[in-house]
Amino acid sequence: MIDKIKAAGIHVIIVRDEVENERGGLLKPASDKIKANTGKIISVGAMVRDKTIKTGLTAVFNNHAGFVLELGDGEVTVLNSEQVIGTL
Amino acid sequence: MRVIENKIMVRVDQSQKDYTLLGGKRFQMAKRYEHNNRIKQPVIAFVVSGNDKLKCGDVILCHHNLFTEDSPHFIKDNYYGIKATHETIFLKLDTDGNPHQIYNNVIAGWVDKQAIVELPSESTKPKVDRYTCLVDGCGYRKGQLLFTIPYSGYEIVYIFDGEERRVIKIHKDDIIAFI
Repeated sequence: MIDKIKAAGIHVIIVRDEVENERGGLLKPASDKIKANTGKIISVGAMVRDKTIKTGLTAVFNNHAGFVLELGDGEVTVLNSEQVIGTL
Repeated sequence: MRVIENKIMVRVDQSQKDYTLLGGKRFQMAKRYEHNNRIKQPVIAFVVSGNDKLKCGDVILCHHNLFTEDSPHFIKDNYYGIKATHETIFLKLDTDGNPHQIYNNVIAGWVDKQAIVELPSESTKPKVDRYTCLVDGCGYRKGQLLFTIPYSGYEIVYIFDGEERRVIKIHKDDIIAFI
């Protein structure tokens, strides 16, 4: 489903990068896990005006921005285009 | 009389709390919803003077607050002059009781959560952030899965010709993704 999902309106769909799950050789507990604030853009809505936001680039955004959608084969984060701070 | 400034004139039968007739068949708003319980229900109105999107004779479902006893939209008898926006007009109905989109309100249906164990129908709960498009329009096709801001769907339940029908109204701007 992640391959087929498309962003609507002014939204951008991102697959977050994975963060390190270990510290000093020990697994971090779930409460200590921090979400990445970067991710790969997989879909850009038709009404996004900023031309620097393109599919395939890495977006930088606030940790708590957007909604998380749980799909059958993973999770994606949906942001408003104004919540994207920059692209790499 | 012609209305101005994106307003329309409608006729609302104040005795419709029990039922009204649509295309010769009995139409009634459901009094209690299974998943989205609201005390007030939308009101059915008949367009008398319309605009570019609504013509005389069209049947629409409107927000109940427009037709209170001391409503500022009241003209005389059963006639009201209301603004035509997505917040006041929820959907359009045809003579077969089928809903149609109006003013960027997408018509959708519930998507049930999938449980590991098979549950009875009264115990299943729907997802609150995704719906299935039921009617073509607003750039979406029937059958597409629509992802929205959680709890953005507004359930409308009505009984037409003895058959209960459930639809969910979502504004187009609340849709964040689709498949």
